[in-house]
Amino acid sequence: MSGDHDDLHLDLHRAVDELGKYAIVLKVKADDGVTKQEIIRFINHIMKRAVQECMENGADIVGHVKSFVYCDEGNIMGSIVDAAQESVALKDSLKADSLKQFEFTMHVIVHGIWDDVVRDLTRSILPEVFADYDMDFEILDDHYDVEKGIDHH
Amino acid sequence: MKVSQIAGFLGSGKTTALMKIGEGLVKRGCKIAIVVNDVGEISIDSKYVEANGLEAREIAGGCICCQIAGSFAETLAKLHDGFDPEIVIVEPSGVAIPWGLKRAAEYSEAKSDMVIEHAPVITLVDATRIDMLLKAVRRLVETQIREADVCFVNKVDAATPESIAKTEELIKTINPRAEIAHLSSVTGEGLEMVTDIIMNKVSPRYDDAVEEEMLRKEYGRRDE
Repeated sequence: MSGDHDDLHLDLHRAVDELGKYAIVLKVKADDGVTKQEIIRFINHIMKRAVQECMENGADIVGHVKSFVYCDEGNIMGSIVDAAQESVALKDSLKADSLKQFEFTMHVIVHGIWDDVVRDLTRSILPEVFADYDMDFEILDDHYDVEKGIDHH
Repeated sequence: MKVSQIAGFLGSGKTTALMKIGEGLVKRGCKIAIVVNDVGEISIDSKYVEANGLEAREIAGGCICCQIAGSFAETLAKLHDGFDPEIVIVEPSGVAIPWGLKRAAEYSEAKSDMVIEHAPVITLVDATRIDMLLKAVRRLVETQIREADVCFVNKVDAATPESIAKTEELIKTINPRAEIAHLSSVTGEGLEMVTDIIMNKVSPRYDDAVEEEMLRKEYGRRDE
């Protein structure tokens, strides 16, 4: 690879390192069941709160915030690509009226703040949001520690 | 095996378009697979693609055209040997350099008995956020446009005529040789064209000399 290309590549990775990235995978439980409408309300709530927290704490644009509800009965993918977006864009193929358990993944990428800030902000909203829906969560995977920046260069 | 890359910054509509394009190719009788390389360790997109019945592979943990180029080549070789798709659509992260990705794809020829052919490099440019993106991540957006064979002004259903015109002008300025077209996953505008391009057109293989020349011409001025 040429020196020019190496320089360009490094520049691009530096630019990408200005993107704060964090992802978390949760097992969600609702002993009495939670309706599909409530799950959709929850998705909107938690994703918009994540965006709000990041934008109020130094982020200047949303890269994307995506979520994925997954269970045997189907899935719902949610995405926000603009902080001004009024509601979460949903792709819904969930074929159940209510659920007692599902997996929830959220991936937050914003520009202007570092990974650790995105992680702290994202995790800080979990208890309050989940409390509103009478649901419990357990962290299955935390994708902060495995994030890598330009250290390979 | 043909490799098609659909580039674009985060939120440019790659995944939504890719699903529609994938469906279009399947309807035309193509056997396809999708490789997703997201920024970060996890990819929601690959979960979504798989959940919707398409053959997906996720490559996580870095940039597909550099530190995990070996993983990408390995993935392509395994796809060829195990699934044998005619077309592999690659959704790279917002940082992969198209020429680097071509080279990484060709590494797979050493790992399996196949020849890689490249579809034209397609870059999606989000017309609804063009001002914001240029302000925050101009370099990334410019690079993705510069190395494209075809640039699609995406989300034309939601963008204003002024934003669409501005996006087109930007593309013409950065990459005068690129073909420019409109795309909307909502209305379907442009989707047939993307499918035709992927199926019927090819882009040159990686060539070190061509890349050197392009870098000299395109990037040499950046510090002046």
